[in-house]
Amino acid sequence: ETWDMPMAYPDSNYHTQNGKDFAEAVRIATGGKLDITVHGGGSLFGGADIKRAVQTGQAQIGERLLSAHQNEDPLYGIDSVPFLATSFEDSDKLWQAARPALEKRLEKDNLVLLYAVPWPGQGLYFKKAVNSKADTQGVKFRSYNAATARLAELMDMQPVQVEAAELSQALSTGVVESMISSGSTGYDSKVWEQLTHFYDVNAWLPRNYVFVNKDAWDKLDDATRNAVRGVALLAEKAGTAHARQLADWYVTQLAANGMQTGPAGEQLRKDLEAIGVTMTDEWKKAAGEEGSALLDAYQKLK
Amino acid sequence: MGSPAMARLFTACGWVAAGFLVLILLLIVLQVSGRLFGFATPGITHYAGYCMAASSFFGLGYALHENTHIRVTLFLNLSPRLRYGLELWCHLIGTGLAAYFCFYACKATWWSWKFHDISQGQDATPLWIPQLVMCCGTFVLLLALAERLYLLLAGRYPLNAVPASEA
Amino acid sequence: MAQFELTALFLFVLFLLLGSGVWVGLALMGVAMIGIELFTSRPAGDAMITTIWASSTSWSLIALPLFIWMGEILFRTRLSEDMFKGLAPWMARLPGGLLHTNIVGCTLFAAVSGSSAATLTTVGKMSIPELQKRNYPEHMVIGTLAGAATLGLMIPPSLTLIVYGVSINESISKLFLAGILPGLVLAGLFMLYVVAWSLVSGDRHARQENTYTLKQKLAASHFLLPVILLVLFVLGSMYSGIATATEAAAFGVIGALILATLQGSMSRTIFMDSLLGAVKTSSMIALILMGAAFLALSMGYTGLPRALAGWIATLELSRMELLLALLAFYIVIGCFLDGISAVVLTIAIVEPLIRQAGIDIIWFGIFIVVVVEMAQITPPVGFNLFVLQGMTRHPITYVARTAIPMFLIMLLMVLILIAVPELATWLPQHMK
Ligand code: NA
Ligand code: NA
Repeated sequence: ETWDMPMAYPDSNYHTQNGKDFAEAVRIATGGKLDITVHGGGSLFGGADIKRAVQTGQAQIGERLLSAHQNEDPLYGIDSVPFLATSFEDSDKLWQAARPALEKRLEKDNLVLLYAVPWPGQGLYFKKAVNSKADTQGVKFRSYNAATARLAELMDMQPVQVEAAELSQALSTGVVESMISSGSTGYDSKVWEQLTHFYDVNAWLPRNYVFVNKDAWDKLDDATRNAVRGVALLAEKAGTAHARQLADWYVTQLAANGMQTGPAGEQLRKDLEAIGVTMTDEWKKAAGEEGSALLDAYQKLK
Repeated sequence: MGSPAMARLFTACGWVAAGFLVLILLLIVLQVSGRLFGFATPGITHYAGYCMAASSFFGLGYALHENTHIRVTLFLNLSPRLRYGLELWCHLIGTGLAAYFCFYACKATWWSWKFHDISQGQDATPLWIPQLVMCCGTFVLLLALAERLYLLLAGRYPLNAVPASEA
Repeated sequence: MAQFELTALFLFVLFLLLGSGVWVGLALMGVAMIGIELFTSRPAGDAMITTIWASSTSWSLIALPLFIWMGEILFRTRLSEDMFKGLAPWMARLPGGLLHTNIVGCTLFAAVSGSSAATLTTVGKMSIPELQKRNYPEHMVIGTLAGAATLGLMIPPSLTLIVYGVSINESISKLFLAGILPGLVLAGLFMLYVVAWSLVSGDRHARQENTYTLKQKLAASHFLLPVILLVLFVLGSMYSGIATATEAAAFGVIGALILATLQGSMSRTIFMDSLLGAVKTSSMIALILMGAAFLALSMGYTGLPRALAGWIATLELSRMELLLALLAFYIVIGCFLDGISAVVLTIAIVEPLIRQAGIDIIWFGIFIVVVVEMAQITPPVGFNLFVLQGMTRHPITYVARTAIPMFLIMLLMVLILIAVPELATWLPQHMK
């Protein structure tokens, strides 16, 4: 079998590197029976099309940001509820709690879940020092989905939609003045050329997840499937370890390039925590009983 | 020449496409104003994208009707007999490809509906709705090509339809 | 070498369909479909729609129809005529005369638009009829335009540089700075060529234009005011933080509408005609872009560009040989692909080669833009050629011939870039 594996992020990103290692390991573990070609940087399908492409068999396996699908079902947004899980340990527990439900949900979409790797925590980028909600009034904040728009609203900021390709120019001309993103994205896009302050608040640790078309999966023999499962487990561990290792390094790099970095001050943290409570409640309402059950399961693991 | 009713259809599609082009402009103005005056305009970049698709797809048949789609005319005007043969071949292939395009456009739209495929942006639009323009546009393109193929087979196709300077 | 057989087959089908007169966009779709059906087990039709829908709704392409519309408005009003009245006194005595407006116009407009197609349609819509009216030789009118439009991607903003920067994690602002000097040098080379052509061919157009005193020149310059205002309006919206680069195109349309109204050359009919004209041109380009998107997907499935780039990687070339090999490679790949797809499909393999060879990655961005743009003025698939064919109604073979000197000038530009890399690296290193 040969499979195509579209991935959205450039080859230099550790998620894509991890995907390539995964593909290589699968080739070895299955004795070449399953050969996965990784297409990084959106070169086969762009991020927004990957899930649909895998669902319909245009590609057999793919990777996407899990929360990108939360318009379909709030469940896909569980990793991106602000201030619910703010460390790698909590993120792992949240993932353990959510995984069975997600597997079931994905099966409805003709997909099989393989593994998921977190991004470093999301921090706030600004063009000025921000000590509390009072400082963020009216700031133009880049929102890329409903949840980030809501976050902006609760911080009294103005949500502004800017597409990824235009982001760096929009930041330098002032179309946008602030954003939420991981240290790795800030580092990759050399955000210090436009912004000055990074607050390492770990609002949430979003995940990229890897999924397989169910028909393609069912066609594999048991031995191959087991081999792929085993390699996937290792890929999740390796990717997560890599993310942990890189998280601090990215923030150091932001500082080394002249940005003010550090945790949020006391008042800002309190304001953010209050927003976290509001948004967790809102998510729970949207996700219904299943959502509440998941959050309970997560609290037990904690 | 083709039927006047069909010609009216193609022109009408041109106007629809023009309407969507104006809509792109208005949406962008709205988005910029929103930023300037502080009101939220969620999802506009996506709506503008759908309008661009609508404008392109509705324009496809119209542009064919107006002979704007470009082609290599190197061999077309060597001799009238060669011209007829080549036109037949081009229209057969063109009609076939347009039918293929239209079929899969409709299938994809139907899938979007069946899967409840929804935009990942802030617009959260069910994708089958904007994708309907793809079904309509490719169908009109198919109609336009099929009509020309039919006329050609009936020997009524005006071989001088392509402006002389293009030859 | 399976990739060579594959390349040959793709080329054969492409030439067959294009050459026999199948509409360009549909021909590209046909080649893509055959490629997927013959060489992979992927569902061609379903994948075709996924990729076509994505490209048809892509935000970064939205500036294109808007700029085309702007060009249609300018073309139908007195604006373009006035611009030539204002420029004529200045350029009249320069060998080559008003042909230089093509190059100057493209350089100016390149600062406003991020793509070569938008630059080409807007400037061409204004300058072609005016130059034809003045009996400038057709092949020079079209050729200079085909070449100069590529400045749209070198002078910031630039779509190709954005895509390149995102793919390799390099600073887009640095890439934008890097493009400025080479862009101006290339514009200078084009103008030198026009001067040389005029002197060698004994062209009489410059001498036919009247001579003007400085006073007359300055007096006529007020005709330039509207176009300068328009460019400033668009640039201003972009650099003041009011609009993003894409949104700025909407300011171009609004500015053109306002100017035309103030000049009293706007009417209901002209407005409607400009709209329908824009629909025709942008749908024509859209069909080609749809075909190109599908063909790029087909290339991705078959792995041809990767295989070819991978093959170059195995050759263990020296720095210079590598650059020349990549030059040839992108021109071959440019037989099937548009500039952005060529970058996206190959960068994963090419980037490590470049870094290993110790080549400056910012510099390479400018190199790749020039090279990929050279591919856009060579047949069979050359987008600038297609757009010019659509605008002038000349056969593609004719348009391609007029572009040959421009191709050679760009080749010279590549050699200059290799000899004087500082052209691209100096600004980004010295500006913060
Ligand atoms: Na430009
Ligand atoms: Na080419």
